[in-house]
Amino acid sequence: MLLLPPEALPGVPYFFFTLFGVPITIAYPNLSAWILVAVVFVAAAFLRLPAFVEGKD
Amino acid sequence: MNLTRTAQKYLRLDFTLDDALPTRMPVYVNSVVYLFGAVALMALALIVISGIVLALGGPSWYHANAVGRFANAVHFWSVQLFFFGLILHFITKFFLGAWRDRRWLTWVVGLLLLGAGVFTGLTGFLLQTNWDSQWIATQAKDTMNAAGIGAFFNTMNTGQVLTLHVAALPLGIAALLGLHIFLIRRDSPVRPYDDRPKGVAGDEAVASVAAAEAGDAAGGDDTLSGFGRRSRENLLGVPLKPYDLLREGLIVFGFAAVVVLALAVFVGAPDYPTVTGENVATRQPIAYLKTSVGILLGNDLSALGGYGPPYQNDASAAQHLGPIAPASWFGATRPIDPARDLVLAPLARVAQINPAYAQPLAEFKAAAPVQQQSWLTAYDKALDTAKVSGAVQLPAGDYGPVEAMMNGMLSLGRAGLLEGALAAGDNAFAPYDFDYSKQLSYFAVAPPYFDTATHLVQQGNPQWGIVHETGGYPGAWWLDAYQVWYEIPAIADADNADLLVVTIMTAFFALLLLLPVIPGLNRLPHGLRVYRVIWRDWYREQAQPVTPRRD
Repeated sequence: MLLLPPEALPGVPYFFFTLFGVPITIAYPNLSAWILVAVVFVAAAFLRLPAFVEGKD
Repeated sequence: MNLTRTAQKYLRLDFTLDDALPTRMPVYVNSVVYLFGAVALMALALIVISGIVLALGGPSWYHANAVGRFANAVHFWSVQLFFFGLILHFITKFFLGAWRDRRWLTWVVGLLLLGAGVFTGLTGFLLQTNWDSQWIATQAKDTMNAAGIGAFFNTMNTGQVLTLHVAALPLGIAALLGLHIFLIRRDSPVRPYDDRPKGVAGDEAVASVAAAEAGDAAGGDDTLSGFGRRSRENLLGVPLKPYDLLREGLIVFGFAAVVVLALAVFVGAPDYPTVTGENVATRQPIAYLKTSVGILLGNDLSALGGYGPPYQNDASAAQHLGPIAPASWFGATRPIDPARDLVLAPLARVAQINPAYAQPLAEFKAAAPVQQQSWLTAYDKALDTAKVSGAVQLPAGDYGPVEAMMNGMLSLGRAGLLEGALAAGDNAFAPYDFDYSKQLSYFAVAPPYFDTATHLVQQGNPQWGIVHETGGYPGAWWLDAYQVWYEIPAIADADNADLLVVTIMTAFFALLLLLPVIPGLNRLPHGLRVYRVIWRDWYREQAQPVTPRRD
C-alpha cells in the first residue's frame, strides 16, 4: 500500500508515493489520524487556555 | 512507628486538599495543550462506561443487537479519542521536558500507562470477535511468540484475551493512573525552562517549605498557602490565577462525549464477518484445497507447520537474534501438529459420518512417507490447472487416496463444519474451550486469506500487519511506530523479522523511560524550543522590565 495511489497523480514519479523509496502499508485512515495529531498539536500550542476553566467565584 | 500518623503527616505536608483539588494554577499554564491529558482521561471514562455495557452481554452479543452495536461504536471511538489525547499529552510533556525538577517518576509511570494502554487496546481489537480480531490475532501471534510472550499469552485464546481485557489490564491501568494523577497533583505543573527569578530559588524556597511544615498557612509566600511542600517549592515566585479542576474535567468530558457520540451515531464502527471455512470452501475451493494439502505437505501455506515454539518443540525453528531465542525458552506450551490436528483428525470425523472417506484415510496413513509426499505433491501441482464447476476437476494423475481425502475436507468446509471438526478433540471439558488457535490459523497465510478477505471485506486494500484498517475506519494507528519497521525490506524479509522489531521497540521504549536521566537527551526539548511557543506569554511577561513600586 502506498501513501497515495500513484494513479491519483499521473506523471508524478513513483518514488514520491513512497517514504524514501519504501512502499508504505500504513494507509489513509491511519495516516489521517497522525496528520490530525500533528495539526491539533500545533494549533493547541498557539491557543490559550479558555477562560471558562478558570471558574472564577 | 505509627503508620497512620505517618500517612496523616505525609498528606498534611505533601498532598493537601489544595494539591488534590486546586482552585489556583500557575499563570504559565495557559495553553490548550494542557487539556490533552484531560481528554485522554475523559475518553477513558467513556471507554469504561461503554465497556461495562459491552461486557454485560459477553464478547459476541453486540454483532446482532442494535444497543450492542451502538455501545461497540461508542467504545471504538472512545478508544480512538483516548489514544489521540494520550499521544498528544505525551508529545506535549516531551516538548515541555516535564520530567524536570524530580518528576522522573511521573514520566515513567505515564509511559508505563501508555504501554499498558496499547496492550489493552490490542486485546480489545482481539476481542471484537470479527474479521479484525481474526486478522490481528493471527498477525500479532508471531510477535508474541518471537518474544517468548506467546508461551503465556495466546492472541487466539478468546477466553484469556477477555479476562485480560476486562479485568487484569483495567486494574493495572487504574493503579498506574491513580499513581500518575497523584504525582501530577502533588508536584504541580512543571515550570518553564530558565524561568527562575534571580534570588528566589534558595532561601525563600526553604522558608516557604518550612512554613508548610509548620502548618502555618500564612507563612512564607501567602499566595501558596494551602499547598503542600512540593508545590510550594515548585511554585515559589510564580503568580497564580483562578482555576477550577472539576469544571475543567466536566467540560472536557462533555466535549469528549459529544465527539464520541457523534462519531458513533454517524460513522459507526467496523464489524465485518470473519473468514470461515465455509466462505473459503464455497468461494475459493482451490485456495481451500491448496491450504489443506499445504498443511499436510508442511509448505508455506501451513500457518503453523514448522513454526517451532510454542506449537512444536523444534527450537531451531524459533526466531533468534544471535544466540538469543526467547521463543525457545519455554518449549511447546501449546502443542499443535498441523497435519494431524488440522487435517487428519477432522477427516477422521468426516469418515465417521461418511464411511466412504474411511478407506482413503486409512490407505494414506498406512503409506510410506515418501509415497505420501508423492501423492500430495502431485495433487498440489494438479490444483494449479484444476477446473471448478461445483466439484473440483483435476487432470489425470496419481494422487492415491489424497483426492478423496481432499474432497472430504472440501465437503466439510462447504457444510460449515470445519471449525467444529477442528474444535473436536481430546477435551474432557468439551464444549468449554475458548482457544481458537486451530480455527483462526487454518487460513492465516496470504493467498487464501487475502483473496477471500478481499472478496468479503477488504475492498482491494491489501494491508497486512497489526495496524490493519478495514473499510474507511482507522485501525490501531498508535501502533504505527511498531509497524513501520516492517516497511524496511531488510527487516521485513529477515527470518527473525518479528524478533528484530520487538528488540528495536523494546530498546526504544527503554530509551524513553530513561530519558530523564540520559545526559544530553534529557535536554533535547530545551534545544528544540517548542516550549517557547507554549509558554510564550510567560516569557513575554518575564522579558518586561520591572516597574519600581511607588509605595
